[in-house]
Amino acid sequence: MNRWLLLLVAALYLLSLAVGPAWWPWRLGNEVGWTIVWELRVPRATLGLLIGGVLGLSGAVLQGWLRNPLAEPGVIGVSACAGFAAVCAFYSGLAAAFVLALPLAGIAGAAIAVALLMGAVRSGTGTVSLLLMGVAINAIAAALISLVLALSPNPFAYQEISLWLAGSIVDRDLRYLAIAAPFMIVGAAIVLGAGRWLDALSLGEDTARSLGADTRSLGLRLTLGVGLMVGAATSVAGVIGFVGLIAPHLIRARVGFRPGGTLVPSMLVGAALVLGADTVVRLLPTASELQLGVFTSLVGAPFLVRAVRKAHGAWLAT
Amino acid sequence: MVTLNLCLDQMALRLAAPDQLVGVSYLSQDPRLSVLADRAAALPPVRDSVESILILRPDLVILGQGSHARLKRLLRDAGVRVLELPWATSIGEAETVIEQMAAALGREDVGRSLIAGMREQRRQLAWKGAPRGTAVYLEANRGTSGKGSLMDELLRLSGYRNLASELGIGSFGRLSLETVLAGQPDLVVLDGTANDNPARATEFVGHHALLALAGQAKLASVPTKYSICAGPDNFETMRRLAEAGR
Repeated sequence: MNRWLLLLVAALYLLSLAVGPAWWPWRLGNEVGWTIVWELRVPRATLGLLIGGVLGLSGAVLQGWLRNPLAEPGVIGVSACAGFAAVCAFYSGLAAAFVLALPLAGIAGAAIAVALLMGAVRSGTGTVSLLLMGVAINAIAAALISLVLALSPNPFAYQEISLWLAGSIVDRDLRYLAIAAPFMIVGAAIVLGAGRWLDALSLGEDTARSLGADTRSLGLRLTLGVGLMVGAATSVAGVIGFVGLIAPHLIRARVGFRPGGTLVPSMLVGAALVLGADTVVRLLPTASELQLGVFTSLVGAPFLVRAVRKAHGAWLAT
Repeated sequence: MVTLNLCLDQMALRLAAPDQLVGVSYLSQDPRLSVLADRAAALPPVRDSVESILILRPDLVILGQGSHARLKRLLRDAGVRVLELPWATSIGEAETVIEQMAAALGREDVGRSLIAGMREQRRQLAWKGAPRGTAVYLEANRGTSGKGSLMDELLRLSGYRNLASELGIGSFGRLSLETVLAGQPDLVVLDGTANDNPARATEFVGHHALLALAGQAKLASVPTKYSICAGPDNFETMRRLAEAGR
């Protein structure tokens, strides 16, 4: 399956390079065409690939780790918290003074949210408290983002809230790719190595411990990995929701419901979803381009509804 | 008298006698948006709340057409005269607004000399001859000004065809950077200082792709305050366009 997914991702990546409002830029036959491809489409397609990949992977990790098929960076507030931290870095001018401030702030925000959520899960109250905690984090982060933007002296900052929260990878240049990609790749490497222990964790923490898992250091490792991935992704693209929810769901049954086995396919499906969605928003005949996050939410939110209904309260009750 | 929007403020600050104007909108005190910010700073700032207007005890409130109906009713109920002036989107319309405001203030002579000055500057700065190229105006959030907008007129007067108008965009629309590059404009007009206080909306000012285009196109930096309102300040825009085109 992974081979087919890889082919799909490669095809969508190439499609993403080929499609855009200027259609075939190489027909211009001069540097401008080259600039369009290199400065606009390559960063956009590569960011789509990486961000989709890490969001899908983060969803798979969170779902396996929290033993909860509704866990997703956007739904439980990890993206929103990362977004708030990135907004702070951006509007305070810190990001302009020190380029790495933007992804680092996003990573810190995401890691704090993951730690908060883990605290809620540890106290043993299950799915409901996890989701309520997510609601709370989302609400606080959204309010704080509005506050920071209202304080910014740039007259356009406040109008940006809706655009920023909706998430987009339009017109990011190579600098954004350069500052975010390393963190996303390192984060992915950290969690990909933990697949075996995720399987053990799916049997419960006590069982995992008896199988030789150091649950404490594993928790730190996963927190760090998800923080790096979601934080860096959100700091450049805003909140792109539901990718982390959909991707593991699509492949879970095909890997025998092993959380560790969902990691790589989820990453590939996530990348395919974001690349595909980002190509679709470019082609939709809307007056101005639809935000990528709006599109993924339009498609993803009904998916969440379906997942909740299918569950029949089985895990909602625990 | 009190004026209630940025563009009317700018005209009132020029037309009114020193003791005539008792308040202008708070936006006029922002040096990024208002050319006469230092003069406006001497006056109390007014927000769109009836209380902050009435406390200044004006006889006349000048506001833009399309202001909130409740605001107008409350002002009239309080016995204040209200004058509504249209939003000018061209230099010609600005002249009409100036005439109307000057008449309301009893300062027709000042209005006439202001308009005469504008016509003189326009005559001097207007490009004579065939269009010298295409230009595109870029503003926050990938916005641009097309047909029927003030910037369209200013570009045309300065001898440029507006790329946005040719792409069929109305007075306000959006253009992706890709479309801008593919259109290969000869002149890119933007507010180079827009991103001094960073915002995603305005960060395109430093986008690599635009810098790459700069090798082929000329770049004109026009601070927003010279192009946001139709009026005498627009000639500073034209002066900068002319300078960049040289």
